Amino acid sequence: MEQFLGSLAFIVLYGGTYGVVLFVLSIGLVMTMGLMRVPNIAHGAFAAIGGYMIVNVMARWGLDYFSAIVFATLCVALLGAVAERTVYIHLYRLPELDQILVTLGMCFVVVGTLALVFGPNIVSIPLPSSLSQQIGLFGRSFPVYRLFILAVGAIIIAVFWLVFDRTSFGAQLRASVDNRSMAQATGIPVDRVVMLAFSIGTGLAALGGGIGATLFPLEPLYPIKYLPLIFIIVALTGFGNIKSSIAVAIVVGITDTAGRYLFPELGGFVIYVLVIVVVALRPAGLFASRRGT
Amino acid sequence: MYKLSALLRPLLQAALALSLISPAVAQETIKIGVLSQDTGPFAQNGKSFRQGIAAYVALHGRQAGGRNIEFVFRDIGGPSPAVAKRLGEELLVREKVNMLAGFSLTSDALAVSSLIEKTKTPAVLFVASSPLVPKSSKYFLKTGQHTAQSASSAAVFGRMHDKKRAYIVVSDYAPGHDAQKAFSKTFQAQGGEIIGEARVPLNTVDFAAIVERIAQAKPDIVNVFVPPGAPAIGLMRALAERGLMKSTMVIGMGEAEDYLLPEYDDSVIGFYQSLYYAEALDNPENQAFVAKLKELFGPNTQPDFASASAFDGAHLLYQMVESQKGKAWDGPAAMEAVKGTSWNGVRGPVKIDPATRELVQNIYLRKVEKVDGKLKNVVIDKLEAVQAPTNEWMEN
Repeated sequence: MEQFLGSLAFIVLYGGTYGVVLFVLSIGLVMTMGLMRVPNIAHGAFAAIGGYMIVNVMARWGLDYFSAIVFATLCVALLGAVAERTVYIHLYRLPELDQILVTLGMCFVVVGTLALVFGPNIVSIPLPSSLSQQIGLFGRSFPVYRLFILAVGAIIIAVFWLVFDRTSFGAQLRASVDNRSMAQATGIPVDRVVMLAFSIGTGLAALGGGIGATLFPLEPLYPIKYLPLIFIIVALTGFGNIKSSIAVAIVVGITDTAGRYLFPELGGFVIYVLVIVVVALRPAGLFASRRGT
Repeated sequence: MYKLSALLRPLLQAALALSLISPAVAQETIKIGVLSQDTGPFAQNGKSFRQGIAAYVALHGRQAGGRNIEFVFRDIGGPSPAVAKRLGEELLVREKVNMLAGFSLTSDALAVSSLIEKTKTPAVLFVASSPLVPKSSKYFLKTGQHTAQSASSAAVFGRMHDKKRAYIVVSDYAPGHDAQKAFSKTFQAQGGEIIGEARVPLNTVDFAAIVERIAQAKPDIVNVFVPPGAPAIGLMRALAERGLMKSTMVIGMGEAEDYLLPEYDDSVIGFYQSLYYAEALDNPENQAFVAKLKELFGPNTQPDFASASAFDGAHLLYQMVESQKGKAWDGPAAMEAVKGTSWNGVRGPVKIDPATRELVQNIYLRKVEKVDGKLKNVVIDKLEAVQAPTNEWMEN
């Protein structure tokens, strides 16, 4: 029984943290897909840029871990806004294939540049000693770092909920996702909403790249390597169900961790079974509302 | 154009006649094609191959047996047997190379085995370590290792440290399976018990789940085999997080070469590896090699098992050219000449086993420690003249 409880606690905590990192990494793409219908293949590249920025400002300017993360998140959010205004704005009217080609090309450029500047090997973000300790929970020890991820996730989710449900920007965002032309007709500055949403999304990707660097190590191929995971979250969420992406990410994280724990050899594939089942039975999204669009 | 060729013809005929009379007089060049991975996920190997060869050339010159030696490099650029085969053809047919060398991946080597068999071209394997490769063509020689040499030695080292209960974790691909089999077989033959084995998908980077299982099985030795890079770093971190790095003997193969150690955090301290090379080896050959590397490529350059293999491989290639001194070039004869040859490599004494064409070599037990604030692999033990197992041993 004690072993069972220990295992359960392990799956929930580790799966939960995994899910939180996935959520932070992919929320930007969920919003972009919903708002602009652009499959932004380069989304992971923003996460990688954020991660590399954290490593470098810590090593070169001596910034501490937490300020480096905040700094990188803000910088990449700004970069995202600039990219949206200069590059993505030209993509909205193009066919999907062209959108994929351009963003995939950007992804390759980032991969190549990272390899050229920082070398082909993995770089790691040194954790502060406050996070690299262990803490006793449920009769066993857990790394403080995992709890830190959960805390960051909880804050982001709370802020998200508030902004989404309680502010006029949230209302404008929801309106733009649901029906772009109608939103425009009612006087909502959709262009600005799109830019802000894109910027927030890329900033969060950078944050995910930073706090998740222990789970997904930073390397030049990062933007391509973890793209399937991000796309799984997007696909299971469905178009525009921004709020449900939180639950989807946690479900994916826990399923994956439980799969790997219970069946080590096949565990890595349990997640794909989940994807197949969900896409077959609920193509609109795991927690999509049943109303027609 | 026609006139020019008419003018050149007698000259060409004269040149041809001369070359037929005395093949070795006009400083003939032996070309060696190096198939490597210079870009893509295995780019580190290609870099090491070039550095190892460059260091050897810088120390021993560009000539052997009265002939010039020229290396021609080709980049496969990723795990692609089709590209390896095409480049192999190009090297053999267009560049007319006399020998091949390099090979990071088993699949790179298997892709050219029919080519070298047909053209009777000797090929020296620097890294590809699956037993399938020497079996696929009699023209393969090896200055890397047979996976089982290090894996079986890991089991022997474990028993020497009086470990009894082993858990094996390997990446789920052919080299991982070979390593798993060799360790498991040797550990049990020496009286140990395998209490758990797991093959994890190659793309795994978060090992927390499997490490949780290992911890619950309470082993006293954990044998690991995962590719360097993200998987290895993830595994070490998870093992340390769960306290296994301290409570058990975690032993791997080449996951934490010295040049890779800056990628790890302190979680890797206490990690053992069983491998045929270590940067810290203090034999004179290795010290000359490391000094030359630093001189050629900058003071921060560090060797690894791939550059050590390339250096020793270059020596073997030079010996083959040397053996044909004064004769017309004959690849198979050059190969026969070096079967059974032994020399002092940068990894210590080595010998080409004439029966298997594998390398007989020392296997070292290394442990990652913090020396003067820097992570280092410290050599703490060695097994001398370890032979590669026979194919029958591997199959049963």
